[in-house]
Amino acid sequence: MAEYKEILYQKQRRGVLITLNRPEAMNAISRSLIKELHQALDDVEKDPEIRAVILTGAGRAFSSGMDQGNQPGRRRDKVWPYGMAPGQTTAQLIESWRHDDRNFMRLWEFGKPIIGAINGWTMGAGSWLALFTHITIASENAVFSQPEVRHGSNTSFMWTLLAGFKNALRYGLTGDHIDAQEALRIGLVNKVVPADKLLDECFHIVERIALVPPETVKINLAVATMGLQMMGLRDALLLDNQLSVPAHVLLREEYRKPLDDARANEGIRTYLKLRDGPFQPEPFGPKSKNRQ
Amino acid sequence: MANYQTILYEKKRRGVQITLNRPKVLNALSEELLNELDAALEEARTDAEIRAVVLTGAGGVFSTGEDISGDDRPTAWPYGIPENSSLVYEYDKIRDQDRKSFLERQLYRWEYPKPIIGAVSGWCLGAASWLALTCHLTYAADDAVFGQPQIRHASGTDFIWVMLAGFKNALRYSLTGDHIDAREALRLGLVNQIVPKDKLLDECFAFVERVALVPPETVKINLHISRMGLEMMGLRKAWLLNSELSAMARLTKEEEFNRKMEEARQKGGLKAFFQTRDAPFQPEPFGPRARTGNRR
Repeated sequence: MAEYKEILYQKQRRGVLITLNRPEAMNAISRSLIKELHQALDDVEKDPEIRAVILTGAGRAFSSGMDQGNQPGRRRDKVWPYGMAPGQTTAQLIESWRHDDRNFMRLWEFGKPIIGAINGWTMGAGSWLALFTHITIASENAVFSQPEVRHGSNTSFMWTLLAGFKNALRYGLTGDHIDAQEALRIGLVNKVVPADKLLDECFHIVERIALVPPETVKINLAVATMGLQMMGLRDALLLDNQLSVPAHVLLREEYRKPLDDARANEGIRTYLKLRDGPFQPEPFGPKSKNRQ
Repeated sequence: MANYQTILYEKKRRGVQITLNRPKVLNALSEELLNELDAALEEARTDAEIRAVVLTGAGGVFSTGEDISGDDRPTAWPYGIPENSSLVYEYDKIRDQDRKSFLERQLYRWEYPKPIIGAVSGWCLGAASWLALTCHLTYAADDAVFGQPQIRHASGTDFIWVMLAGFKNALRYSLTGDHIDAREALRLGLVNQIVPKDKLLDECFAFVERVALVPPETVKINLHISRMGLEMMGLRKAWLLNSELSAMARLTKEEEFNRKMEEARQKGGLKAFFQTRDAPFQPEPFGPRARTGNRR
């Protein structure tokens, strides 16, 4: 079994609990974290005792999204109005943003059920991770959103697949927060449970799955996941992956320079307040009441 | 800026309000109105100050659908095509018309690079329901009624109903033309939200203002991820087929169902015809023609 630093891997009750474990960074998805998650899935594949996976986050977040710190294309020394780093060519910039979407597709295609136990803030790519799980249970204090669109980033077609066209656009175009009940209404999650019952509820499903023959579970998972791929989900996600490149390189000075400046100077927290202030109150969640 | 006769074009709050404005005929969609809507959308597309479009109807009604008040040539029965015409000529003409006047316009709005928000109050029937539902977002006033009653005398439905409401729900209403109210529309996923009638436009523009805080290029790309993803999943193919089937539905006139309507149209008694047509369907399951609140 692999040694893990950024996740926890705990076998119990016929399954395994994989915990994204960088609570100091709200479990932001670093390259090392995603690598460990895939190593953990390798271990799950080899272990017949494990009938299903539960994926959750440590602390008050499921995941706050991509780790802004070590993204390949995120040079902060941009020259304006070009929106590119000194001496950088457009070809280099575009290439730096191309990435491998198999990180998320593998969860979808995984041969054992993956249950998302959504325990709190679930933002940006963290929401995509949650949505790619096969079954998703949310605690009452879960919040989903893609606030990064507010300074320029892409959404994921998984939102459209699950929530439908109009609901996906309502939140994908604004980055607005939604709470667990709204997530349930639009089809992002299966069920909402009290926070202290979340893992128990998920393991209860694992134990029921464990009563069914493993081959049957695998085939019925494939009927659903491969059927949707046959209907074009894979094509949609391939296009999504390509569109993520222009989403990140088409930068306007007025929206992006404050972010880069903040990172260089007073810090990202100040910037986020500045960015999100005009959006408050949010329609749902903890930021929906107090106007700044 | 163009001078519009059948629509209103009002820039405000980071967007534009385009109002279908033929209240005397409940904003029925005439060719002139559809042409002006095309022109208005093109004007809004190229205006950088406009971040999103709100599409609504005048007089508390969205629209009752296609304007069928024109006088067609008399039909030769039982053939169901105009006198002294031929099947090949009529079929070919209708297919061309359907592409030009409907499919091309629908795809133009679907591919539109800024969000179009349908603000629906009152009647939203037939082709108007397709117009409202093909908008990227749709907000309903509490008095909104959606329906496709035209199928009761033979006409097509649109695949947008299936895409949004799902197979069973779309069939439930498109095989009967039954009315549905705002609550049922929300349950089916036809609309994003229900808003009190007097707050409808305000709520839509509150959304426009939120969109306007997001970089324009980001909004455009995220619109494309949803829209083109659904096309990758086959939506465009479904619409192309829909257009063929719709031409067939339009061509198909049966004496039993269509003769009375044509006579009514020629003699100016369309309203009476609709009453005769719709009476056996009452009470409707939802809306103002439902006897009791939510009878199914």
